[in-house]
Amino acid sequence: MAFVETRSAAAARTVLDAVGVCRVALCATSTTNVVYAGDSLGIDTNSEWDLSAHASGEQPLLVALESGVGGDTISAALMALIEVTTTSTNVATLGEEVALKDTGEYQATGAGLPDVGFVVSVGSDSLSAILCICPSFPQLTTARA
Amino acid sequence: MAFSETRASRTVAAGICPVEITLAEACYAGDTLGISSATWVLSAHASGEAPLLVAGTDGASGDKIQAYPMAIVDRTVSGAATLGEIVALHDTGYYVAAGSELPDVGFVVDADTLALIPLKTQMDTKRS
Repeated sequence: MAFVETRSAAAARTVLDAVGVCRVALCATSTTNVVYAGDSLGIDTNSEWDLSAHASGEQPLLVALESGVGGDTISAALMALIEVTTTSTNVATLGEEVALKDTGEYQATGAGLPDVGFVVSVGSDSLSAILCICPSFPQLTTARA
Repeated sequence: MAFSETRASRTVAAGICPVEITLAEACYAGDTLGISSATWVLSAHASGEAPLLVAGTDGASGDKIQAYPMAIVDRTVSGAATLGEIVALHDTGYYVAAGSELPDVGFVVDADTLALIPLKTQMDTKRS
C-alpha cells in the first residue's frame, strides 16, 4: 500500500532540522484550528496562516516547527527534515516523492496532490520515516523569459 | 493594488548555505544576484541574468560578500503585500507581485517579510 503517515497529537512528528526559519501568526479567526509540528502551512480564506488543506485551496508554503492553535504565533521554516510515523501497511520508500494529502498528512504522490518533498530514510522497523519537506518549491514556476 | 517594494538595503533575517562571492556590480542586502559574463551582478532582465542567490549585505563592485541560495528577508518598506502571494523579481531588481514573464523568486511571509528561493525556478527538469 502506498506510503501515508499518521497525523495526530499522539503520533507527534519530530522536527530534526530546519532552514529559513521565520515566525508566523496562525489564523486567529478559527481559534479551534490545530497545527502540529511538521504540518505544511498555507494561507486560508481569511488571508491568514493555517494548515494547508485542499478544502480551502491553500497552497503549501511553510513547514510548522511547533504545534499551535489559532491565534498562536509559531516558528515555521522554508525547509525542514521531519520524522513521521507510518504503519506496517503504509511503509515509505527511500527517495520517493512526498505529497500533501487534503487533510494534512504526508503521503506518496497522488493525482491532484501537491508535491512537497521526498523520503530521506525509512526506520529499521518500517514504522517511521524521515522526510525532507520544502512545500513552497512547486509554487515557484516562472523562470525569467 | 499589487504588491511592490522599494529597492533599498534590507535586513537578511536568515540565510542558508552561505557562499562568498565577488560582486561586479553594486547591490543591496536582499537583492537577487545572477551571472553576467561570468561575474556576479544584480539579476536584471536587460542582461537576462537568471536569479540565483540572495545578497547577504550591501556591496560595491569588487567587494566580497556573503550570499545565500535561500533567505528570509525583512523589507524596509511596507506595501500592500498579501500573505502567501508569490513574489517575482522586477527587471530593475525590486520585488513585486508575480507578473507576466517576471521570474518567481519567493513568497510573502507577512507584510514585512519575504521568503526568497531565487534559484528554484532554474531547476525544473526531472530525469526522463
